[in-house]
Amino acid sequence: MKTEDLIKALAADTAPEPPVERRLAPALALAGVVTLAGFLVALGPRPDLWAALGDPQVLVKHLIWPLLAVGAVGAALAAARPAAGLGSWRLWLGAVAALVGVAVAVELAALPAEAWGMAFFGKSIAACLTSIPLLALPLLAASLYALASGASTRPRLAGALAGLASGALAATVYAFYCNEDSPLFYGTWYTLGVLAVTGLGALLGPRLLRW
Amino acid sequence: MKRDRAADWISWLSAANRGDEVAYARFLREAAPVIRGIVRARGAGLGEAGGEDVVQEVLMAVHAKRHTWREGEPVQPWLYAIARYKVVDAFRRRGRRVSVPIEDFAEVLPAPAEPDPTEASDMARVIDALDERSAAIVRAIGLDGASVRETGAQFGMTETAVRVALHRAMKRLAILRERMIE
Repeated sequence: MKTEDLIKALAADTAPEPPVERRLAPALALAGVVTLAGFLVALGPRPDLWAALGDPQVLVKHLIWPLLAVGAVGAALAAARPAAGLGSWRLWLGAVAALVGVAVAVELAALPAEAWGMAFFGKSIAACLTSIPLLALPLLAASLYALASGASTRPRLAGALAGLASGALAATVYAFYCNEDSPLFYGTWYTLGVLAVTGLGALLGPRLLRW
Repeated sequence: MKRDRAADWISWLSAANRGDEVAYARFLREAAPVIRGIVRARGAGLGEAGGEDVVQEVLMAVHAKRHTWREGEPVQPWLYAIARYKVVDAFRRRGRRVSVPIEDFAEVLPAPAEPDPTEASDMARVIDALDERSAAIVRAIGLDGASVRETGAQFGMTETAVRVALHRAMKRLAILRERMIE
């Protein structure tokens, strides 16, 4: 077939495809329902939630993960478009990391050194490290499905960002169950859980986001 | 007056995304020699027909992923990024490794649009693998240059049905191509 003939056939096909974000939004919403249902069945919100939310330290814990999720979703969408750099999303993600750093520093300054260990280890490392990745799985599937309709020239990066977004959303949900409010705890163990999902996304990206 | 290609491409592709076939054909016709230039510069050894196969692969990718271009953004970097990815991919699948530094593309001159570019062979094979009706529609519009309306009349289909069938056929072609050209 001559290229000119192919062009004629292609040009006649002007049926539009939805942009990636229009696929991602409903996919994430649907997966979010699954994740929330899993959360409510297996974990549920902590009993003292309303009282705890009055504490600024707890508010920071509930703020960091949605902020991270927004940045990661934005960056993942950028990574799904050829020649679109991550741009200011990089700064956004850096700012969230800095926020975690500040929260940890403030906590270290506020607590006597003898109390650091208790805050760091808490009582629920295992629950945290299993719940966040499990809650993230439906979200990761949804975001990889949506990103596959894009055209990532760096599929590993796009996959990792999908994992980061899913992990951060899962951490957002998990934070309502978890009563460990020290940045030493969530800054370490939540982060590890989220990074595990990020790594899984980076592994799956090159397989699932090829085009 | 010097034509501003960047502005032309933006307006043609925007119009294409709103269903303007003429503007879309114009864009693809101008993009093809640029893609050919990239493939030639990188693909010594593919042969002329093999190179044209890769040009067509890139065009298919541009078509399949045109929703990843954002209205108003420059088209060239987007097109080069797609071409770069697909050229590397094509070589990889043909068992050769190349690296295609993107900066070089600024220097690549578009290959002259010959009156009769070499016939590529991959596409014909892939079209043969489609179901009969889809293959006939693609051939009518591509090879015979029929319009959607004429094709509809020929096969007793409405225009909408032809468009839907063509859209599905193009998606199917991209998948088949991926599978067959390993």
